[in-house]
Amino acid sequence: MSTETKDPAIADVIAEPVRRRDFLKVLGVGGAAVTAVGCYSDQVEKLIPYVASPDETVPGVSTYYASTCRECAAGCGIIVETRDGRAIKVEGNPAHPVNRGALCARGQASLQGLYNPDRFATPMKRQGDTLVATTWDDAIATLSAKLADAKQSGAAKDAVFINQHEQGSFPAFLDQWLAGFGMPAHLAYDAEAPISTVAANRQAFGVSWPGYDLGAAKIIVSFAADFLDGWGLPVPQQLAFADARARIEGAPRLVYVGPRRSLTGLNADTWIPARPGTVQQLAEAIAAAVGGRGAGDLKGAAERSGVSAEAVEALVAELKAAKPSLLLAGGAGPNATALASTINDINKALGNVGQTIKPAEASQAFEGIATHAALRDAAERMAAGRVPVAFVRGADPVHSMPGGAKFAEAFAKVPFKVSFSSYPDDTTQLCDLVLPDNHSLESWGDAEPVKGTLSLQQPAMDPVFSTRATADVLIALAKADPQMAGRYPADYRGVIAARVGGNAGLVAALPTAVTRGSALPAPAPKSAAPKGGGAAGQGDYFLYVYQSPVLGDGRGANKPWLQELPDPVTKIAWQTVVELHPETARKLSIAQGDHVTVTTSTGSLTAPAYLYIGIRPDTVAVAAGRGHAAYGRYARGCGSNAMALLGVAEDMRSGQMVLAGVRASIARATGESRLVTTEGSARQHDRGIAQAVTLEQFRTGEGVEHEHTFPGQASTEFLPGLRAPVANDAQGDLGDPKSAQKGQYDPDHWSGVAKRRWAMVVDLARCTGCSACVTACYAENNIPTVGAPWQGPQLWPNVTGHGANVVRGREMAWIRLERYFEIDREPKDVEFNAEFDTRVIPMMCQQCGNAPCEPVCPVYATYHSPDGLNVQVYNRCVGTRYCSNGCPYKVRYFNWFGYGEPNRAQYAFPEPLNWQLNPDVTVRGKGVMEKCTFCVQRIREAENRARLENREVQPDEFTVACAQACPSRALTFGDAADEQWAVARMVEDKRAYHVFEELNTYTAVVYLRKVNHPAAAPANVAAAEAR
Amino acid sequence: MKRPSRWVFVPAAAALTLAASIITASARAPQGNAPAPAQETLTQKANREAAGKAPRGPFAYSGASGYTNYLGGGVGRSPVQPIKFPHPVHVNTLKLNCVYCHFSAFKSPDPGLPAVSTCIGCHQNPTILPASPDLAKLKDYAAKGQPIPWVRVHKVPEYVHFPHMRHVNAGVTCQSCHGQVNNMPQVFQYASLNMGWCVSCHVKGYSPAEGLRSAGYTPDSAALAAPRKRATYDCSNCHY
Amino acid sequence: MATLAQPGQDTGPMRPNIARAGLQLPAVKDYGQVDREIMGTLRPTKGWFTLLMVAITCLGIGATSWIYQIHEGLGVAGYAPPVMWGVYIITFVFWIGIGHAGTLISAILYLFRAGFRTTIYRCAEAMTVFAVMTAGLFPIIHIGRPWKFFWLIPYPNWRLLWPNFKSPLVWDVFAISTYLTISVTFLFIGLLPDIATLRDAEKNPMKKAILAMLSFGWRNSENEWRHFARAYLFLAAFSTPLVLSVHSVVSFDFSMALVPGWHTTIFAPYFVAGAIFSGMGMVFTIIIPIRKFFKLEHYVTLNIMDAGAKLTLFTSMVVGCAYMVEFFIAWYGAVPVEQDYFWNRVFGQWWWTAWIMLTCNVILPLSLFSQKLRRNPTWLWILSLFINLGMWYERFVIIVPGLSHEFEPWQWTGYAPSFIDMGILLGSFGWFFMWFLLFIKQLPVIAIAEVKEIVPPRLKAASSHGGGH
Repeated sequence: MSTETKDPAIADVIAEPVRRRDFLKVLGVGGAAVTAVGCYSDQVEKLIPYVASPDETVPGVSTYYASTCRECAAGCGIIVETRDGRAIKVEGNPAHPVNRGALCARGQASLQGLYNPDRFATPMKRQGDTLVATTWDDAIATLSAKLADAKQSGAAKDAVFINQHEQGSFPAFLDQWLAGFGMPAHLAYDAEAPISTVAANRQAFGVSWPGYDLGAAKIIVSFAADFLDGWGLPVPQQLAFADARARIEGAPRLVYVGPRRSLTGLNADTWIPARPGTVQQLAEAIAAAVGGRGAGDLKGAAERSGVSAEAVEALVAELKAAKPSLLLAGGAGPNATALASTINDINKALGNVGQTIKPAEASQAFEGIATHAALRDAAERMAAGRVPVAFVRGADPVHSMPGGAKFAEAFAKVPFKVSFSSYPDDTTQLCDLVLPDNHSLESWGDAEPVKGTLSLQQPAMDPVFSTRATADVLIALAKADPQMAGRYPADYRGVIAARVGGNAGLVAALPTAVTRGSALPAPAPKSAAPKGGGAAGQGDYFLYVYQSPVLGDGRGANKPWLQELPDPVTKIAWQTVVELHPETARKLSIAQGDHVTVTTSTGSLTAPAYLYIGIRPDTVAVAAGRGHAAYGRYARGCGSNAMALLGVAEDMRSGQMVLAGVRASIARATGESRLVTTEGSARQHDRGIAQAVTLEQFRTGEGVEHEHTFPGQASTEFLPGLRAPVANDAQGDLGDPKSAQKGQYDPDHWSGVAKRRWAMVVDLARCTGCSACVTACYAENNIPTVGAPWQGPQLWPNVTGHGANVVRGREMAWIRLERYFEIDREPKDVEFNAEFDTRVIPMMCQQCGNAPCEPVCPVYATYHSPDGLNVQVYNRCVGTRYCSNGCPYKVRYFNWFGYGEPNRAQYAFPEPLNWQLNPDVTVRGKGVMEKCTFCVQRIREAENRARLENREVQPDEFTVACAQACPSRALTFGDAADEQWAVARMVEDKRAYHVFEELNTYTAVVYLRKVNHPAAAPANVAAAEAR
Repeated sequence: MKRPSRWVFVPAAAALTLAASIITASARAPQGNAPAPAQETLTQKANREAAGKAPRGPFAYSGASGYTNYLGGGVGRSPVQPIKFPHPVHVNTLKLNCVYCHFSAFKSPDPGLPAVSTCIGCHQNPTILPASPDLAKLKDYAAKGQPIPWVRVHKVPEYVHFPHMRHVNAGVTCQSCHGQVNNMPQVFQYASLNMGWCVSCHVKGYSPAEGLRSAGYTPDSAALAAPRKRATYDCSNCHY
Repeated sequence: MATLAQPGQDTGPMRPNIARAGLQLPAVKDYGQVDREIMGTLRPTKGWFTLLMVAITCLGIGATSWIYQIHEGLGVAGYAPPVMWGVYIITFVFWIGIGHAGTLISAILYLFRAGFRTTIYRCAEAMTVFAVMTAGLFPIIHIGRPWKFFWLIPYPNWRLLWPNFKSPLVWDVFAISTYLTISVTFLFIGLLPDIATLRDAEKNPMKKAILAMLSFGWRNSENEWRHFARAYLFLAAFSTPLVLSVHSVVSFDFSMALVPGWHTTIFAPYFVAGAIFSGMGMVFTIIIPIRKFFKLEHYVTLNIMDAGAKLTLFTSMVVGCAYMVEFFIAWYGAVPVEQDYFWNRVFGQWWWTAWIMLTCNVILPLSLFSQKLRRNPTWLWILSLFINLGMWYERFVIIVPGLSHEFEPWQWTGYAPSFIDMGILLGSFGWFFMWFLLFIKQLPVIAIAEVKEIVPPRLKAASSHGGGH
């Protein structure tokens, strides 16, 4: 589609010279972005050509730029798809050593950071108590002056520069710059970083983050190391784990030790629910038992930590037997570092170093990271008024520091505060001068994930707003200073080019953005004397605060995709909940959704209760990441901030802030609210939706043959792919395959359309439930988020506010992660029992060969395409919603409001979020049904490309968005009719089954059963001791 | 006894009159030419004039074409362009190929529009019609570094995905859908662009001979002998 | 009055041959009285006007709600996916059901020569027409893009597309439009002689003109009576199967889907029985106040009430039986999903709706075994209100619990109608009663001509062979 523009805007911009994309900026919508279904228009539209057409771009055809993801410290490689000068999709870079083409939800959502409607459009300057827009010249002049006299007066030596920790050259570059102005080195702050593990690793192996080879281990024991929830390097860890588990034979068993089952815990075969604060002794005892350093008898330790001795003994036995093994220590308890060191000792004792722990393949991700103590120390200096000028970039300490640190008050005492943040976050709100940074997709940079490998970051598009890369601003400021001017190239691009042998090298390296080379060496990590007192405070319960797997420390909270993405464990979106064990809840007569007040010595927090069977009865958990005071329309006032509960308490050995093990008391508060959850019933009721077998059964074949859920049903023989009868007309009729007049539905028809059957295989042995596929789907298919307060029905007081639509089950995720607990009782009456299996299953449209939704549609809006797709024609839909009634999988979603229509309160893509909309996919208007289409736009694009190159579509030439993103490689898409495609082979797997086979829907989505690895000697954790 | 039957005719007549008036009302096409506002930008002018070109229907079809509430899906609609670009001169006289300017028609769903720089490529030569006011406009745009806000003529609704390259590479002449633009002093919408129009060709198949004729050529024997090119007509080819 | 209806010879199908023996109206003496009393009901009264205003107000509320919904989107209704069908479809089925009793009484009972229909059929038939008019609105209110409703109607179009004739919703379009057409025709044909009567009694020329046109110039000749009888008989025979077919088609909307509790073969007869039951309920709701306020007790006699009550009792027991069969099949079929669903319906999430339904439709009607209650208009009226409520809940119980408790436990949910749902529900009653109230003051609510057939005409009264043999 040509870029179209509505008229009135032209009049505005026609005045001064503008480039083509600036038109789009003003108008916001171009190409298919305006396509609300059936919204016909007679407005005269404009065709805006280029002034001078760029050589490489073809209108209507995507251009791809390789770059580096900056959403966390890991430094994954990404490919940014741009169309007509806008980034529309971010995908993993297959050529990248870290993430091998996969990408997590947060990486996917970086686009909504780029196009966030609440970004600063210009530099801002404080006037009174508000920030007002100013020009870049003014802003830079102001800052330059400040720097100059700070340098003169010597005040500079007390300046503080807080930078969001990142790897690569920038930290060193920044320190040089600071030094040039006589300022001390910056603080690389990251609230999420596993500081304690890093410290222990430095001590044990001399590197901050050795390569963990999860695949080589026979058993993995995680001491609250949530390597599937964002701890460490999420994507590579998940890839390795999934690959290992997919081996089935000889796949590592996963044992999880910790008070709360995180996503990692739920993926574990055994859960040892050790009481907070006692894990250290337990580890010591285990160390002693396996012959490493450390003391303490197993039984006693088990007693103290409230787990059964048999379980621990069994674990020890297993560790001795199964070598190599891998033990990981995470968590943020008062003595997490001690724990981590002990674990490293055990690893050494078991000879895992070199086998599963490879210091040689160390990651640079956490080099040069400052301890949380250092930041708290800085805060104290500020409070004492000893800091004349402070800078903050990217980080939001006001929100992510413990409430006890009183960072906001301290920061407010600094006379001159400069922010380089791009968003109006809680910290930036307090600043006097804001020089908004470019988004990472708009700026140059580099990362060195593995020593010797440089991962480049290049701008994929011109800045959306009038922002400037901080590095360039720094250079500009330096140029103003005579002593420093000489040291710098024209801009930061030059600095990067220097790392790869000049401009030529840079140009050569950019196609993959991965090259040999190294970033500037990371500066030495900053630290300060930690303050203890972790387990202080009163209360009968342990508080367990954890960084949200979806929102991280809160930096994801301004991205609606992430707010709407249900937490993989609790399935809660748009809301902060207090996680209680049903037993505890019953004791305090608290029901699901009742408001609960958690009180610590520092502060208190009131939120609805969520009854979670995966947490110790003596522990209460709250996720961090929500409860912003500012940070834009999506984050402001959504949920509450768990950090408020935490006092100043750090791990004495590493200076990591203490998140877990703090004492707290809980009480029923008045009021209740409906949980913003996508969870209906978390039990399968024996319906065989997410099936699993034990390794034993898998070997012997018992229990693997099809489970007849309903007795006395028609043939439920398993017929994957084309061997299942496929509809031979638009109504999804099975009919007589030999019947004439089938037109394109005839495999022998000249069009050959019917020769294909698009299908998907989902390997539940790989799927961890991380939900990256969900966000990928939102990004690819223009799926609206519906949870913002103004998007909901406004007529019921009880169901308005954040997530009002989600409360009514109106979320639009075309693919959802269902999380079932294999435990026969409903949540409310569950005794504590650590032994339950969790099944996660991605549920999307099953593209039935014999679809119940097709015959009932009165207008053929949904029908069966010859290539086996269950097509949804949005513009034909009148919205009877009959198809949804027919669908047993409940994977059809209705546009209750005009989410896709601009100028509506419920519009899901406020300017400029709509820049991200995929031009190849129709944006649905109100009143129509939508659903997963196997990314039909990608199928058509591949067919067009093949035709253009005068060839057939090659096997596995392309894949769908969810499969492309999946960091577990659990999804495989392809043509089941052609055995050259991987999927056609996989459907033959002996673990294969269809969901609700007995309904004879002959789905095109084939699931492979999960395989559980129970302990040889069952580790039965007795409920009694747990309390 | 009195025969009340004649009363039957009174309301019948009334009904007839009503019906007649409705029909005439709907047939009458209001002129879309609103009075010109005080200061009117170039494009506002173009729109105002364009709006009046085709008769406005009494009600809107959905999806007939981009300009759906013109009867006949906007056929004959011919908006005034910001610059009076003469296709005939460039195509017939100077023998420019369509894809010289519409450069991506054979490799992209989007046919592409010439960048101002493309025009200037030739028109920087001052000897070309030095007096022409439209060329002056063109140079003005180029000088100011502004793109030319052409008024769109042919448009399918946004929920239709039309890959130009598939059609062009299949040998469909541009004129089959766009008409003989090479003979249009001011381009107008040639075909209804509604779904039936698309589907009929996809089902019947495209005849090279007809294509050539519509382009104004006389088909050679090969073209005449060539079979109709059929295309798939599955909904999800275009609607997704 | 000499020009007035002159019943022809009682041989053959020449004239509407209602078994006279079936019904006695002892208090009705002669034609004059019939004309006087029935036409007397047409005079507008304050009470009537007040009711009309109330109805119009309700309609206004409904209309406002609908406009708001069209503008904002269906999200303003109470839908909570996967409960994608709610109050609108419930109410649609409810009104269609109401429509059935009318045709039953006017057509089927006519063919069965059930005399007691005579004085209530006009009322019932009018109720049918207006009920179907009301029901017909709901599919449009229900769909996401009402302005595209015409896509369900097969008409040649430039898209070269037809509707999907396999979809029960398309069948609905046909079923309902047919039913409405036939009912209207039947009502109108039956009205012809009465309109003529009114016409002749009318003084105001304008009104006279309209009535004249409506009466098609009926002049009470032998030929007209012969054709009238033929037409009447034919239409009665024609609409009889519709009573069965229409609600069967409506029931297919549900039984064609996979939803547990919907996907069953007994739905067609079950729905038809339910429809007639609910229709009888509405007939009582309407006829009892009419006979009271219009002083027509001696036309709509207690015998008639009694007979109607028996019919109600019978249909109630059929419906009760259908409920039992559903539970039996669920148990006997041993399909866990079905069993879950029915358990959840009666003892789970939706127990209260199920028990409202059972109480109103099965338990309370049992009181009609007592003749005393059958002949007690007050009780019948109260009972009829309960029946209406119960039948609305029956549809609720069929539609909502099924969708809210389906195959996918992960998608189990609840459902609560919103103000908008309720506003439109209220509006539908306003719409229905507005038409009905207008009707009863324009046209006789009791068929004058047919009553006269069972009243010994004065001239005959003199002669030896009296009213009937």
